[in-house]
Amino acid sequence: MLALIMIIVFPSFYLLGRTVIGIAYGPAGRERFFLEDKVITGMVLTIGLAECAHIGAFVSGRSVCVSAKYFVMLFICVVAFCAVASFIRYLIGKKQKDHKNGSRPIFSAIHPDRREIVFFAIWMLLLAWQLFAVFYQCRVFQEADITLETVVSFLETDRLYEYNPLTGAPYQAGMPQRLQVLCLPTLYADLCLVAGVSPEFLVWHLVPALVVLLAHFAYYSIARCLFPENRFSRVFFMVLVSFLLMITDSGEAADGFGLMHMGFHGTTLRSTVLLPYLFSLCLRRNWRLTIPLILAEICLVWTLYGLGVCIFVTFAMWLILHLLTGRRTTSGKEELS
Amino acid sequence: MMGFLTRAGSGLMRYFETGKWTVLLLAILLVYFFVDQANGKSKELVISAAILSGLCILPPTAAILLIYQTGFYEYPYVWNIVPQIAAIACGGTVLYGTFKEKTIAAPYRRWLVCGAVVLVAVLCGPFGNPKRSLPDLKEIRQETAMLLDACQGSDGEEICLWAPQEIMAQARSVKGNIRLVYGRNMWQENVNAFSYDTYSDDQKMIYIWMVAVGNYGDLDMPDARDVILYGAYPDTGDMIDGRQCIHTALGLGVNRIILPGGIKEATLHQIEEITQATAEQIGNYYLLRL
Repeated sequence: MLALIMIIVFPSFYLLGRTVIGIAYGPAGRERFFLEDKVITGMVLTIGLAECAHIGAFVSGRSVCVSAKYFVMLFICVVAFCAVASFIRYLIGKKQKDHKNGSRPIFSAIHPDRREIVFFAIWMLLLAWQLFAVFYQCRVFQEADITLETVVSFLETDRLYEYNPLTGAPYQAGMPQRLQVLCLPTLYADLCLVAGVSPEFLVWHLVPALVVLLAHFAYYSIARCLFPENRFSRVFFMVLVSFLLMITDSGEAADGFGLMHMGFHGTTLRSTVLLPYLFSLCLRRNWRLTIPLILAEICLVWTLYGLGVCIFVTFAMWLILHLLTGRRTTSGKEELS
Repeated sequence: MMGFLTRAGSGLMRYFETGKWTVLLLAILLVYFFVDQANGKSKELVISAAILSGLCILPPTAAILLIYQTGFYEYPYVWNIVPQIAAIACGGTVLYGTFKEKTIAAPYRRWLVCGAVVLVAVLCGPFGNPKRSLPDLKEIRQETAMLLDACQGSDGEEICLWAPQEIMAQARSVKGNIRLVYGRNMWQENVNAFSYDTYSDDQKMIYIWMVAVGNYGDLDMPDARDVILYGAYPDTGDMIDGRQCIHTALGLGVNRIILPGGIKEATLHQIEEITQATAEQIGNYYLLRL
């Protein structure tokens, strides 16, 4: 099941991300982006689609079934549009140019040495262990979270945020409006309806496994940024990252703890996928792509009415890098404004 | 503001106690500057991490960050702005590179920084601080599912359940069609942020009784809120009237009661009399259908 979902999800993310990056930077600019950029950008766009479906359903009667319909329709339309756009590009011959100069795989055709193979195997083993742990374990941190109850409540009542998920009774005094904007529980309920899986399987097992993979993509984008010419260093970096993510002894705010015990949570998605990727974008001065990340955080996490961690980090990094370099031109040929 | 400043100060101390992240991060930052092997991007990452760490460490800036994140999240979440894992991994990679390439003029330097990192890691509490172990929920969820299946009534009947804490905690995520007389936000205060709804004194009282009956097994007990809820039998405080609690629960619409298996037999008979229902033993619990 996990493999099947990944086979559907990741190519869709890739297709979406590739098109968005192409729109933002043009065919020439797209050559500076890699597989991990496209997958994560696609994921961010999917969150945007889920938010649109959520808001649409919210204003048109608060039905979960309607939200699922909106989401599926939007997702299929956008993926189909991206596929057609890619196909047209292929037909007019730009595909060959891409092959020559553009997107490169994570590992190029250069033969790795033995040491690199060993560290790559260690990285893969650690990743496999993390996937196994989050997919099969049932050690979820429930104390500050009501995601599963919310999804179960949505599916049972077909109503968005009208019943208190902790008791099943209708809300008396209601709930904060800022929370009602968040789309993750609705997205999970949509996916449960569409895929026909149980909320517990999706929220506690499948989504955390997906987030583990996305987190490795995000950190690999940092590795590629830090060590662009040294593949061994990238692999070694990822081994250290994998190891550090597994040290989960510092409470629920730690990235590793979130990844291993509450991967379905918006704060985990922010700290293990959005923020590492954001740092990678900032270091590369790809400021335009930070905007979807900032918007995605607003859809995922309770922030100060949009003033979240991502926008703060983007501004702080812009300021720091601007002070460090002392000029507005960058190696990434990107604008700083 | 003073409250946020206090939270920022005490939060930092707790952060150092419960995890070595920050200290280790700072150590790696020192490594960077010490060995001076980092390339442009690595240096940018480490300097950014150092500045952002400074914002989290200094109480005034940390307090501002706490306010910025709405005061809803605890102090450790402030550290989300620091690329901790990336900086530490980058430091480790650069350090490893110095061993591999042997580019440092004075080899004792790298051993010095390695020793410093290990020393900091070891001195910052026991190596691998007590891991926050989470319980495996499989067993309790299976038991809850079994009990909730037994609770189901005829078609269309709305079930309102009153049960021990561990069952109430899982019930709503196991079966969506069961209503609870109170949710786990009764005892998990941080979950209260998700709703403006509050509980009445009656609901609080029957919650206290259910916890106490699981611990002591009697129908009437001293109010454990005045002493401690767990441990030795409380001998002070007002009495909780079990009979009244059960009537209150019935008044709140409860039609299924699950009692802990450790309840005294005499107490169980009394409850059966009050509710005029027969208790059915299911696993480690008793179920009463009203």
